[in-house]
Amino acid sequence: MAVPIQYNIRNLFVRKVSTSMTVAGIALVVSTFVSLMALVTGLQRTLVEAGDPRNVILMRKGGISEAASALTMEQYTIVRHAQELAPDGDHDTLASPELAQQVLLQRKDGKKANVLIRGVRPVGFRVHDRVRVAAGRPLAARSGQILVGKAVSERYKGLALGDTLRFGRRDWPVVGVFEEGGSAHESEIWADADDLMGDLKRTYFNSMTARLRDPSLAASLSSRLDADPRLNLDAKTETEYYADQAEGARWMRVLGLGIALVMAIGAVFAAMNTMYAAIGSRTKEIGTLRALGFSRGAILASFMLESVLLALPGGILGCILAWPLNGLRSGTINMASFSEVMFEFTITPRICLEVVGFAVLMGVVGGFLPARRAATLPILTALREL
Amino acid sequence: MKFFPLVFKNIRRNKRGTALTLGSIFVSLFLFTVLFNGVDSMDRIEHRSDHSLRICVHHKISLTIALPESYRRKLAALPGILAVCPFNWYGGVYRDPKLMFTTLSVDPETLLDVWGDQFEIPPEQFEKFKKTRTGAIVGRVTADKFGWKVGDHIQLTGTVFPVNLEFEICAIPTKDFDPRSLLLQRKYLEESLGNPGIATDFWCRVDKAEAIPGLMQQIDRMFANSQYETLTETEKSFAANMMGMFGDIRSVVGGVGLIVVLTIILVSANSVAMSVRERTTEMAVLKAIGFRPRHVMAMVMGEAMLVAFAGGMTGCLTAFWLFRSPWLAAKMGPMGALFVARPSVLGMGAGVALGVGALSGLVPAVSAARLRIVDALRQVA
Repeated sequence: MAVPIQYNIRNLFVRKVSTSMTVAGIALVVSTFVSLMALVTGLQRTLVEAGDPRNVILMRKGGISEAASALTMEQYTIVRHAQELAPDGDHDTLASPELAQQVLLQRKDGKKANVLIRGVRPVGFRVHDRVRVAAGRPLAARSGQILVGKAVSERYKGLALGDTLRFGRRDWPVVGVFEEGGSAHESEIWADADDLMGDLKRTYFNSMTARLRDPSLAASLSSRLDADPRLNLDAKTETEYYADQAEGARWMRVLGLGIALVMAIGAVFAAMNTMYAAIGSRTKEIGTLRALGFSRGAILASFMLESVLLALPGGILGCILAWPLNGLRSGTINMASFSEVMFEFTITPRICLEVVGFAVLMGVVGGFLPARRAATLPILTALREL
Repeated sequence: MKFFPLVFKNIRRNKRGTALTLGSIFVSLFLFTVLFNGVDSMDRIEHRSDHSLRICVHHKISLTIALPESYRRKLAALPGILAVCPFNWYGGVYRDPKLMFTTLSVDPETLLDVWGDQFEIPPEQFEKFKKTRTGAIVGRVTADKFGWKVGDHIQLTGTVFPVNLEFEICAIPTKDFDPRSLLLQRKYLEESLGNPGIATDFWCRVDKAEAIPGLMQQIDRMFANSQYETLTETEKSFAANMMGMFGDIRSVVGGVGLIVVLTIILVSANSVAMSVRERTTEMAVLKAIGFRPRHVMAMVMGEAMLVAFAGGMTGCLTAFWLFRSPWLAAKMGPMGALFVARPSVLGMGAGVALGVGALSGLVPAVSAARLRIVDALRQVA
């Protein structure tokens, strides 16, 4: 027969102060965990979102980012008619030669950071067809105008619709703000590739993004590139390219898990302390319960349950404490592109479930030793206790 | 002081309780030290350049666009500039491209004229670097990470420039402006690129601090409307921009540190309160036999602070010791720079530990001091 759960709940309420302190401690640990996971999830989601599985990126062999890659006019001319690429009208393919250049701009908080400027030709908007102009008008070819990603526009000075960005040799009017489902592209400024080339006095592109006729043709394109000694290019699917960058944020996940784990150990010690004290002051009660016929197993289960009941509200409270962070906009450097990527803290139901499970685990671990002690108390000694 | 043995006995009485309290304070202060040190290192990198006499000239648009080498002569000719050292970002990686570190080509002739105060290199090692075309100066952290020693030959793969270069490690400085860097000879990189005559940035040593604002304007005006316009920055603003790139990570780390401290206070306050409650009758007995309220209070406070200090300092020292081991710095990737601890961190740890002890002991101590003997003796714990 199990000890009624009422017994444990009432006991928690008897020790109001120490119960609430333990719950608060666990809640703080859990909310830290939730915030760190929300940061990493948001950052990775933003990067992964930027990859379109239908597209490939062509970069110089060994290049790890678009900005550090180079694609000559000759290479572009050769590769743009590869038969794996999807047609664009009757005579052309969906191949978008692109420039990527970091520019040091001032954020609204006064600090400066690199923002990626991407130069595209009109075909670029057909290759990146998920890009949607949310305000203003689309980018006209060779107009000397720019479109800014929604995230950049909000985080940086002078990048709202109608503003003018002074950069390079001239002023670039902001004619539109674009969105792409919250992807990392929204952390970029897009200009006309040929305008940008002229301004930077450049004679080559950085990379080429192209639509495949079918995603399965990526391997065939790769071997075509390898076979041509003039090319010296690698093809990566866009998904893979951005997944690699998201992988770069993995150290943050490891760091977050590490911090959460260390804090959890501290919290488990605290929970154990509370439970030992709780049991210490109830020795006589435990003896009575045993004398009434409750088995050792029932006592063990009962105190484990009490410990979990202590941890569970802590877990839920922790999620609630961290909740206001959901959707908070933030930014950090993307090591691969050497420019800032903006993201939103993202608390998913999965994170909440995981951390509540984590809190329960803390309760189980912290409760086990004290509960075992309660269960193994010799009845006579326990009853004789003052 | 004569109560010290009593306090000590009390601490040892409930061994398990004390151990658990010690454990949680240990863990929390360990973590707090790690986080505090992260933020502190960022500040330090930003502020070590407060009184620097260096300025950096780079392309107006971004560091990623190179400037022509010819600017060097024009800069060196300006009155007030003592020496100019061009840097070039090579972007080399060793085997795994994900383990990025700083690789810069420098001019060995002027490196120490400009950066001398940030370097401690054995003179014979530096001479060797000057004489060796393929020579490299490797920071301690990077050397430890890859297990390199002076005299080793290594090959790096270029990610920015498509050239793979071989190096002979000539020097591992004891002090370095960036302990994760690899410095190579400017001439070597230039030759392997076919002498493009470019530099990422020019670091200039200025004769006096008052001249800096004027010089910065003068330089940028000199190159305005040229093919390559420049932006001249003080070392401080350069460092601030570098750190600013981490974006909000810094506030996140600071925030987590704060939560950790709050958690320790809660945890230790809870355990002190519990141990005092267990001894209510004893406190009453003490008072009954003539101890003054302040004695009781001092004993409870002393106990709380002693436990907090012991647990906290052990945690803090463990973290400190961990930072000093190159193993961790090597594991931390791009955040490695944040894992260099200085001794003042220990002082901070001691302060937080004592503060936590005082805060957590205060309420139980006051209530123990105010205890009415009659009530407490009547209460059967």
